[in-house]
Amino acid sequence: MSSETPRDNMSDALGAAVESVLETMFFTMPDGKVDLEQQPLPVHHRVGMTFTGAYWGNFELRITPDSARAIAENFTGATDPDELPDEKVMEVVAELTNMICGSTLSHWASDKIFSLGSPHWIATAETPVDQHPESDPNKPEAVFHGHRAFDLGGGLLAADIEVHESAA
Amino acid sequence: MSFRVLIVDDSPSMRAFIKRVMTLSGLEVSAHLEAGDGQEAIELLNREWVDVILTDINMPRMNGEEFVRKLSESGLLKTVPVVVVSTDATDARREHLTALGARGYLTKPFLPEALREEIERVTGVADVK
Repeated sequence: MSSETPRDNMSDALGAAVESVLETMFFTMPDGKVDLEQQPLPVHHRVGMTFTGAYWGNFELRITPDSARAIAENFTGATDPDELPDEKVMEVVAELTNMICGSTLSHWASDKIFSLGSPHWIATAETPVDQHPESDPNKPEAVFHGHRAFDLGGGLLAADIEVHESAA
Repeated sequence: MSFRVLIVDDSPSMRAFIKRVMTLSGLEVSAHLEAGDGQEAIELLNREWVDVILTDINMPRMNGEEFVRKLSESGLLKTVPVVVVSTDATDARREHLTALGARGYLTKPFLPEALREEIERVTGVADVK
């Protein structure tokens, strides 16, 4: 590995970012970690984004619809459902995705510069989704992986990150 | 002191959140102005005066880095401070934006008090308190 600074455990960095972002920007405290092997994720939304720079890779966030709406209400301060249509909820989930990905990378490799792509929707709860991120057989194997899932009290949130080293 | 604040971010939700957080923090704001990217912000600054600019980095058309560079070239940065508000907490990015002329840098997630303190610091209000 060519990095100059020792890297923290990717899953720990990811978990810390999820908790910090939820608590500070969405006024939400997770009830605890969840093992998706024991408690599979119910129907959920999926948002992904890519990043480039000293390391490149992809990030994916999965969240159950009720939790997505709850955090969107906290973020916007909207109390009337008419004020918060589904498109607005999706916009907030995209922002959540962006913040968790950026926060994870910044703390995991604070001496590097990353360029974040825009969050994009992979699937909504209304469309069929796999239980796990898709695997492309042609994609190179990631050097670092991170995964965390949390109980948000009535819903679940899972985050996954794959990081590859860029060519020198 | 009451501030005229320009929020530059491509996410309408984030712009709304920042407005809300400024109110929650107790900051007195006389006007919120908004732009979805650096280009729109420059067009707005040609006809509006503000006390402080809060800008994201990753935006379409003109990103935050290019926006700060344009403001520096125009001389506007000498009178209007810019605070970068970004998810990017890397030292390298912070140093780069500061070298370009940004006077403040706030990383998301941030507390309401942190936003208020950063605005007061870059506008010099903190010094006269």
